[in-house]
Amino acid sequence: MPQDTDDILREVTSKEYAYGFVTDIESEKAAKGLNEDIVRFISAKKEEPEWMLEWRLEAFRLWQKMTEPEWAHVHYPKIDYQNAYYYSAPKKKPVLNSLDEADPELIKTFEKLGISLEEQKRLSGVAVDVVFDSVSVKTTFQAALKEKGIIFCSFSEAVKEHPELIRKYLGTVVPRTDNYFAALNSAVFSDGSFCYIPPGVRCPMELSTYFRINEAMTGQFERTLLIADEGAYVSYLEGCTAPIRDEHQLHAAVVELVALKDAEIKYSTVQNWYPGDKDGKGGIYNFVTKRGLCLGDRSKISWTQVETGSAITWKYPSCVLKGDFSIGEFYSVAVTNNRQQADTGTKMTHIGKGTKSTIVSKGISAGLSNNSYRGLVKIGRGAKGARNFSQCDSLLLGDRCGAHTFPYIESENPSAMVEHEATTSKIGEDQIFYLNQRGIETEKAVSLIVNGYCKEVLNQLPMEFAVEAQKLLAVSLEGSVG
Amino acid sequence: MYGRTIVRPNRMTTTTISDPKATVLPLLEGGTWPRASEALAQVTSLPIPGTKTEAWKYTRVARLFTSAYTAPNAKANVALPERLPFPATRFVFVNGHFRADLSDALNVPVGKVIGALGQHFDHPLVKQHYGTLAPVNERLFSAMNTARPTDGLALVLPQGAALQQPLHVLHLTVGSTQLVQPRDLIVLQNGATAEIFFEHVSGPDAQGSLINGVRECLVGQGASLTIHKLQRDAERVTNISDEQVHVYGDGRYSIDTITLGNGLVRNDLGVSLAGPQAHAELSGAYLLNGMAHCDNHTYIGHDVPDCTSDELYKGIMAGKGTGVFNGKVYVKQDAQRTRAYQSNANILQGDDAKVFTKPELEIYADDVKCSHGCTIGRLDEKGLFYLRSRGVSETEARRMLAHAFMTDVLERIGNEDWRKHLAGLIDAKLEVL
Repeated sequence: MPQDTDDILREVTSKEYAYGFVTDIESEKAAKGLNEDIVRFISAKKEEPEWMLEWRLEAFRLWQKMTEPEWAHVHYPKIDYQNAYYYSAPKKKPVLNSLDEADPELIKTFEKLGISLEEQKRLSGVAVDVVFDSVSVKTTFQAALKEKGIIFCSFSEAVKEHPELIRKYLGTVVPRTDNYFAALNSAVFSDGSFCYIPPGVRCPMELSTYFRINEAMTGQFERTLLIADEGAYVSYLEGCTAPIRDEHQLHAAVVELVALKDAEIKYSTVQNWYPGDKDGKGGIYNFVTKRGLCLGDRSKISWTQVETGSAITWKYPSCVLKGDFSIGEFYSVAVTNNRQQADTGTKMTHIGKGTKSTIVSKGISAGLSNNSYRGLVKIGRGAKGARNFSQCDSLLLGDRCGAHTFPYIESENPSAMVEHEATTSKIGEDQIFYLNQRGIETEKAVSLIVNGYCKEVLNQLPMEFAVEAQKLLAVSLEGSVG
Repeated sequence: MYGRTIVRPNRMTTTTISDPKATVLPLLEGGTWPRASEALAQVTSLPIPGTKTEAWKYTRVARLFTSAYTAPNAKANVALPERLPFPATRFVFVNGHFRADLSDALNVPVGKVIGALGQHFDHPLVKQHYGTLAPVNERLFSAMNTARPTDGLALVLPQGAALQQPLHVLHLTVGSTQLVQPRDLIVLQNGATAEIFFEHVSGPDAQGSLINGVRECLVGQGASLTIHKLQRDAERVTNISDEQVHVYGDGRYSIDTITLGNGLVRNDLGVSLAGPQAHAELSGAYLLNGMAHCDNHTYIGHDVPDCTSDELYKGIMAGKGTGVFNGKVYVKQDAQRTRAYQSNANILQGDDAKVFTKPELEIYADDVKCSHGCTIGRLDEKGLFYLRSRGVSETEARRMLAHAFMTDVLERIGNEDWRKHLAGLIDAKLEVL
């Protein structure tokens, strides 16, 4: 992030609605538009085997027959998919000599978030010294992982090194026909992460894309596949609290999780992409398909997300509870400010006996934003004794924002128990007054109240992440009150 | 399913048509009521809702258009059911047609309108408000009704007026495959009060009939309208209705919808709170067994500040019964200090019973207190055990608990006589559940 905030703003605001980007390195860029040749080009660039190319091409053909979904409570101008570039080699960022050269606004945000000095340097593009070189970090961690038999690498690498696993699991949780954006991703996905935890292994550390080199520019069509074999455990972190500026406007990622018998996957996301300016110009469109499959008995998948960024969020991390007694969880905090729009939630599909799911969603809307929870709890005929509890709360800060709840609850089994409750209210003026009285200024008071309101979700995050996320909430709501 | 063969006499050729609306169109043509031709045009252009239509996702109606209907028979002989066990003026509609011979004679003072809607279009308020609340350009069934309504209740009460005693509007459907389209208009001017019972009963020979009603209600400032709706249609009878209500400042609208029939029921209810301090109270109970299907779609629009709404729907599904609930609370920008409460609770009792519920909130104002909740479960095992341990048979214990579950809804009904009457009907229904 070498650019000055003003520069970025100017760039974004002066830019026409172009979903593509221009890179200087001509030879590394595919032509504009989307057709079979582009798909072949991407596949060739990645030196993929024939089966992978075929898989992509089929996805592309399916995508052509599909139409863009319009049911979400979000509004944006029609995307011209032919007026975009679908492959470009990563851009090299200019290297700064010290933090002094970085944008002071950015440094201020980092300080508020409590990001360490070294991390700050890495994020703002300062050349880091040898000890903190991510390559060495990577190698240390990779050695530890390798010892346990854990595979953690980029998606392209996995296609080459572990084709048997990719072929077995790719598209089994999110099929190419799943939805418009999933099909698009399947055709043109750039790169992403692949992770496999062997049977009975408990991953010794929180896995994060942060430790993986080459992840800086996975591109706009990220693809993640995570498999926890029988009895394995893994906690995976995605994203970071630092504001991420990206030149792609449309992001259509796919995340697939597979938990076999007795396995557990904990997937945490903190998303703070560029939300556009105050007038709603620019900003990322985050159209993501995330789904976990609890394939084996007693398996568990837990999603935790803190969504503060992006101009538009369209995201429903879901669980298919197929194994008997499997568990699905969804904990979410979604904050929208200015003109942001979020339509997010989850789907819990109960298929196996004794399956359980918990949904806790906290929406916070401020400014002129719209924040929607959309969820589905489906109890199949065979899901004997299934249990679900959902709680969706919305908090409104300001009289020009919207908070919406669209829960779908379907039960076809008389032994199932489903509970859903939702509340919408304004931030308590008495609470703010109480804190004001004790010498806490309004902005800080709001941040305290909001953090208390989100506690249930933030508690689910790994500790360091939670601390950062708390601060992030405060930063995201800056200027929304008083 | 689609694409039947019909013979067109003028050309004497056989044509296969793909428009399933041909089963109803001949009965809708030639309507003389206001807006009929406009509505007929909409019937032709509006699609039949399918499972991909969000509002009809769980209620399949395409099969209603697979065989032709007949015009509602006004002259049918009917055996009148017993009167309500309390005083009420009874109006009887047979297959949608008003039957003065079966109804109580009423001396209506000047200024009021109480009677069959078809006879009162000369009244300025009827003329002014008819067709203004139920739009014909969105909902196929409302357009069908407006194209050619059978008849219905017209009630206009001037400022401060009240009904001497409640009205009991009894709709009897006899004879098969009829298309019956009841159409009511209720206008209460400022401060007027009315309480009306709408009861739908159908004979065992009414199979394949489609009752497609529309009711428009205007509740003026400080006026109060209480509607009690009892649906007891037979198996294979479809009852679709659309009720649109406008409540002005300090007005009050209250409705309880009790569905005990065995057919397919779809109730659309839209309430717009259009003046400050307006209040809406919606209650519903549905007890379904056999192949019964009940779909309650409610919409409460908080258009202005300081309004309140309270909604409670409860149901028990047994056999192959299907319960659907879709409640939406919409709070407009600047509709501050809104209080809205919505709750839906369901009990599933059979392996083939189903429930689909979707309580929605759409809120654009910040100083609001809105909540909704919904539950799906079974009868409390601990309660059952407690009763069993005290020597109550399992069947009896289940019935007691089920009745207790329904009590919440009954207790909201202000009219004690009606409440008692319903309690008896619900108990009788629980016997067969």
